[in-house]
Amino acid sequence: MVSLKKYSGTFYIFLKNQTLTKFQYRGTLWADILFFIFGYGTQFYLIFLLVGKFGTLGGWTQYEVMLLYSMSILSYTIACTFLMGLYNRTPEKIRNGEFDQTLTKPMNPLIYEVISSFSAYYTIHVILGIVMVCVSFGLLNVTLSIGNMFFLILVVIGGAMIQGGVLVLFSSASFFLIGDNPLVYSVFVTLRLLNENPISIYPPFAQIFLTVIMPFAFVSFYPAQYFLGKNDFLMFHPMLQYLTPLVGLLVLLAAAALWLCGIKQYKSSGN
Amino acid sequence: MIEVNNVSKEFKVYTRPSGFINTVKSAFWREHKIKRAVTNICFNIEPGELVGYVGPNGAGKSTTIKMLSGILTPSAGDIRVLGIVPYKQRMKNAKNIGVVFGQRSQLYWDLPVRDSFVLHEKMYDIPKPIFKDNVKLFTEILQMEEFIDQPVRQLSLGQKMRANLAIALLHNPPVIYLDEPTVGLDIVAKAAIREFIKEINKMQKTTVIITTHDMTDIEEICQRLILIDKGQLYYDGDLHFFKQQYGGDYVITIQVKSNSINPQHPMLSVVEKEANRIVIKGNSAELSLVDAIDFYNRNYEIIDIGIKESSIESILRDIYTGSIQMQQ
Ligand SMILES: Nc1ncnc2c1ncn2[C@@H]1O[C@H](COP(=O)(O)OP(=O)(O)O)[C@@H](O)[C@H]1O
Ligand SMILES: [Mg+2]
Repeated sequence: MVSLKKYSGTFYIFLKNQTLTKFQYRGTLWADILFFIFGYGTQFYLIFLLVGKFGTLGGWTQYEVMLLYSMSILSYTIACTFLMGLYNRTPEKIRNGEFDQTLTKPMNPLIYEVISSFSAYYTIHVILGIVMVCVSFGLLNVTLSIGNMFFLILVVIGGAMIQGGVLVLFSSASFFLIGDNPLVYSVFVTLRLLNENPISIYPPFAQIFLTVIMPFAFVSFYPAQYFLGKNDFLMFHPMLQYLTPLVGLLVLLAAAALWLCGIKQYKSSGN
Repeated sequence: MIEVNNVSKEFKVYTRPSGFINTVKSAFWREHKIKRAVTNICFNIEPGELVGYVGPNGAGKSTTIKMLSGILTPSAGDIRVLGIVPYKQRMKNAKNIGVVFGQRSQLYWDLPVRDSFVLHEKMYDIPKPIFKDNVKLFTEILQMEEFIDQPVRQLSLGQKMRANLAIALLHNPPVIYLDEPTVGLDIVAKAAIREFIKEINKMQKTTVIITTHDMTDIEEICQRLILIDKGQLYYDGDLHFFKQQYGGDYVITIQVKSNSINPQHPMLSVVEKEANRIVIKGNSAELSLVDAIDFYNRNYEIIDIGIKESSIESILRDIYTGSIQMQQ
């Protein structure tokens, strides 16, 4: 209990100050929102045009692919809100020795890194992501029961945990790798894009990879099957459409455990 | 309170790769050498002690401090601080210690100093009354009133260092590690910091380990000296004893009333001599300073006297350059 108070109190102060600083730069904030709308909006519209033109993509209609895309974006923005700082800034701190400070705090180092670099303004992206998911369901003419609505929320959280887990995993790489490795970090961005399409269009090894090794298929492909009543389960069991929250939890916990293990490898820097 | 037993720390030092293939390969494997930063170090520190931890650049001071604070895991040996193994129980250890690295800041760049303090209040779960008292007291001793409400990025080096010292002590840790806290500071800031360390030690019996290259810090603050070089321990003991044993040289300038100084002590050597003034050199291992003065005082009427003893600084310089040999 005491420790919960410690973490929430610290988090609150970081949040307050960070939000204050962020809103001092109002221009950047607006630019950021416009960038989001243009970037993701264009992509959204492209799917509409291209998939519409070819009829279907791997048996999925344009609106269905748009749902895939928006579920992936929504869970991604949630993951970024919490973990983008960890992914972007912590590796640099680990390399230059600034991470020393984190290790002398009476807090779990991973939680400290997360709350000290929490990106509150990303919540604006989350809101835009929610809008995109709602639009997709609207276009599809699917109305969700209360139960399904609840499951959708779990799925989005699960998807955020999967993508977040992978962010944590990549962030931990800097404990194990030598020197700076910009390549490693661009891999994540590329891999993630794979879950914006129905995985049924990929060759089998990629489908296995995205289900078992880097389970991005659980972010939107499998759960979308549930909401759309689809049944192209490929080589996998139909149960998978319910498993996103569980997979998310496992991926995040495993990544966190690996990250914490990585601390033993930390070398600081001479000073 | 602090027990260090046979502790060593090795680092792998990598060579830079060249060529594309080697660069890709080097993310996972590189040629490396083993660098021993600290070798077989032992010491015990009791509550309330003020210990100066000195040695030339690269001696292994920071590495030791990092192992004591739980940042680095020793390659061999064991460490206990208040019964806790720092690198295993990091969070528990963190509550007991305050750390200041002169080269790094604990403060948050965009925040006013006061907000950084509040952040630590939450993080360390400091009871409100203790927090308030400490902020008030530290602000006073370290003269922080003028800048406590300014964002950190606007502060001078000396102001930042004072704030760093304060923040490290807000939770009343029984142990503090100060790694070059006075580096790059002016005389006023240095004096404020020394005063503060002594004051806190007196009030709260705080155990202090300080590394510095400014021997005035050591002479003003510490009772005990630990000397390391190339990762090995060379001396651990009382500061005065160290001075006597390795320094002990003194130079006395004496002016007398009569016009010729003649009798000479066999243990003293003459550096300079005029009709009524003599400069002599001795070593306290052979003849104590008091006896030397007494010798002249018995034979002459002294009108003026000047004494210069060797400083820690000069002794260390002689040790580092090898003109004094020490056994480990
Ligand atoms: N992170 C590190 N990686 C490799 N070598 C290091 C690292 N930290 C320190 N060293 C080496 O260990 C030795 C001791 O360093 P350090 O403890 O920083 O010395 P000091 O603080 O006494 O100046 C130096 O030779 C330094 O180059
Ligand atoms: Mg150092």
